[in-house]
Amino acid sequence: MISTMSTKHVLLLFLFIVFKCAYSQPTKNIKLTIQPYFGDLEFKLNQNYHQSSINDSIQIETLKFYISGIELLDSNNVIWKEKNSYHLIDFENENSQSIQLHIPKKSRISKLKFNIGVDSITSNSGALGGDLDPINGMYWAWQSGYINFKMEGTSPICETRKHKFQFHLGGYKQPFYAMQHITLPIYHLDDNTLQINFNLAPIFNSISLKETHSIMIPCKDGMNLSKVVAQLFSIHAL
Amino acid sequence: MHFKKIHIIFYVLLIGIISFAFISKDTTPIIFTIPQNWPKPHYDFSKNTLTEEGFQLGRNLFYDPILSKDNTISCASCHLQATGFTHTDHDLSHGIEGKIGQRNSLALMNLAWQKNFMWDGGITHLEVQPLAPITNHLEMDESLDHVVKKLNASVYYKTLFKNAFHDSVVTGQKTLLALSQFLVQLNSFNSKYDKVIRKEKGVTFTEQEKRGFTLFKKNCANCHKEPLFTSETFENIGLKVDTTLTDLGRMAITKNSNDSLKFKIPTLRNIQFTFPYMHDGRFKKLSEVVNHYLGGIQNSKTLSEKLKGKPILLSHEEKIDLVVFLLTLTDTEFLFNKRFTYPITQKNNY
Ligand code: HEC
Ligand code: HEC
Repeated sequence: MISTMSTKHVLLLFLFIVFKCAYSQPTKNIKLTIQPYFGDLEFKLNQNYHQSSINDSIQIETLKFYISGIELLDSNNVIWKEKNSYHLIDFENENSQSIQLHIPKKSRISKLKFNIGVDSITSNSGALGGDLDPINGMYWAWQSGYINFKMEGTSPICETRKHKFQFHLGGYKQPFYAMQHITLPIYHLDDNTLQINFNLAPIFNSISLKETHSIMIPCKDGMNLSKVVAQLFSIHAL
Repeated sequence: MHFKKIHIIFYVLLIGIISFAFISKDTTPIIFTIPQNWPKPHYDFSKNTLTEEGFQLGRNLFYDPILSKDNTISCASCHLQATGFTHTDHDLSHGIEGKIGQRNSLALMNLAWQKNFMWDGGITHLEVQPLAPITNHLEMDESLDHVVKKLNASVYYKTLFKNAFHDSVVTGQKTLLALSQFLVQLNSFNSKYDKVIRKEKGVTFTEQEKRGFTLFKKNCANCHKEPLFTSETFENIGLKVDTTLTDLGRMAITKNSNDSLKFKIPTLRNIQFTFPYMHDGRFKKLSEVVNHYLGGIQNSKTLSEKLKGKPILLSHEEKIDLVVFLLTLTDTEFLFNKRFTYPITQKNNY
C-alpha cells in the first residue's frame, strides 16, 4: 500500500519538476517597435506630406492595421511562436506601436515572420475580445470579417467630398483572402529592441488617388493594394 | 501513514480548487435542448456558455433603444415577438428618424442552426450579426464603441454584466455574446406540424392539411427543407427585379455574377405572421406567394434549376390546401413565450 502510494508521489514530483523546468526556461524580452515613415520623413497623423509622384499633398487621419502570427526563425526552423498573436497597431495610440515578445534566452534568430491582417478562422470566430474586439472599428458590419488595414485621409487630388480617400483592406475568403505573410531577415539583433520600419509613401506611387480613392469591401483592388502594403515593411538597419 | 496524510491533503486541495472554480461562478447554467430528430446546431456553445444571467442581459439589450444613436430604436423595433420577431406592415424596415432600410426584416428563430445570416448571407457568424443594424445609418446609426460607453455609464447594466460575466466592465465582446445568448434561444419547434411529426397524442392533420403537406413535399421542400424549412443555400426564385432597389442579393457579397438575384431561402416557420414576404416585402398574402410559384416566375440566367423545369400546376383547391398546410407551422407557444417578452425589470437609468 505504502509503496504504491510513494511511486505515485514520485511520479507527481517528477511531473512537477518537468513542468517547473518547462516554465522556468530562461527568457528575455524583446521590444518590437513599428516606426512609420513617409519617404524620408518620420510619419505622423494629420500632417501634410508632399508626394512628388502626384505633385500634391497628402494628409492621413486614420492609420491602423493588424499584425498577427509573429514567429521567430533560426535559419529555417521556427524556434518561437507567439501565442494568441494578434496586435492592433493604431497610430493614434503610441503604446500600440510596440509589442513585447518573451522569447527563450539562447535563441539565434535570423528571421522574423508575421502577417498583416487576421486569418480566416479567427475572422469567422464570432465576438472576440482585446485587440480583436469589434469595438476597435476593425470589423466589417454588413459582411463578416476583419479589416486588416485601414487608412483614411485627404488629398487635394481626390475629386471626392472634402477630398477624402479611404482604404479598408480585408477579406478572408478566396479569391479575396487579403491577409499578407511577411518575412524579414534579421542580421543583427541588437540587445533588446527590434525596429520595423514602415514606409507609407510607396502606396501613393502604386495607386493613383485621382482614380482610386475608396476601397471599402473585399475586392480585386483591395487585394492588389494589400500586396503593396506587404512590401512597406523592413528591418531598421543600424 | 505520513504519506497517506499528504495524499489525502493533496486530493482535498485538488477538489477544493476545482469546486472553487465552479462555485465562484455563481451563474445558473442553461441547457440547450435540441428538438427530437433535428440536426445538430452550428452555433458553438462551448465558447459562449449559456446562463440565465447571460440570457437576461441579452434580453435587456435586445429590447433597449440604448443600442441606437438617439436612443429611439431597439432590436425589437424591427423584430417583434408576436410576428415571429420580424416587422410586419412595412415592406422595407423602418429605422432611425423614420428612415427606410433597403430590405424586409427577417424573422428571428432557430438561429443556432444557421450558418449564414441576412438575405445575402453576408454575415457568417451570429455573434457579429448585431454589428450590422447597430452601425447601419438607416437603422440604429450607432457605433459599438459608443454603445459600450453608454452601457459602462449605466449602473443598471454594470450590475447585469457583473451577474453574467463576473466583471462589471462592459466590452464589445461581452455585449455581443450576451445578445447571442438571447438570440440562440428564440427557438420554435412546437407548431402543430411538429406535434404531428412527433406523433403527440391527440394531434393530427386534417384531411386538407394532409393534402397540403403532400403538395408541399412535392413542390417546396427541396428548398424549404424540413425540419427547419430552410436550407443553407441561396436561390433565385424568379422574382421580377424591383428597379427602385435593384438588389442583386448574394452577388453583392461574392461578386460572382452566377449569384445575381439569389437570396437566402428563408424559414417558413410562423409564416402566417411574418408578412410581408420576400426580401423586399412585395407580397402581403401567402396566396400571392403561391401564385408567384405557379405563374409568376421570370426566367433568367441564374433562375434556380429547381424551378426551370416543369412549371408547378395546382388547382384552386390545391392552392388553398397548400396555404392551409403552411398555417400548421404557426407556433403560438413561441410567439407568446413570456421568456422572450420585454423585460419588466428594465429601467430608464442611463
Ligand atoms: C431598422 C430595423 C432593424 C433593426 C433596428 C434591427 N434589425 Fe435585425 N434585421 C433587419 C433587416 C431588414 C434584416 C435583413 C437584412 C438583410 O438581409 O440585409 C435583419 C436581419 C437580422 C438577422 C438575421 C436573421 C437571418 O435569418 O439571417 C438577425 C439575427 C437580426 N436581424 C438581429 C437583430 C438584432 C440583434 C438587432 C439589434 C441589435 C437588430 N436585428 C436590429 C432589420 C432590423
Ligand atoms: C428553388 C428553391 C425554392 C423553392 C422550390 C421554393 N422556394 Fe419559397 N423561397 C425561396 C427563396 C430563395 C425565397 C426568398 C426569395 C426572395 O426574397 O428573394 C423564398 C421565399 C418564400 C416565402 C416568403 C418567406 C418570407 O419570410 O418572406 C414563402 C412563403 C415561400 N417561399 C413559400 C414557398 C412555397 C409554398 C413553395 C412551394 C410552392 C416554395 N416556397 C418553393 C426558395 C424556394
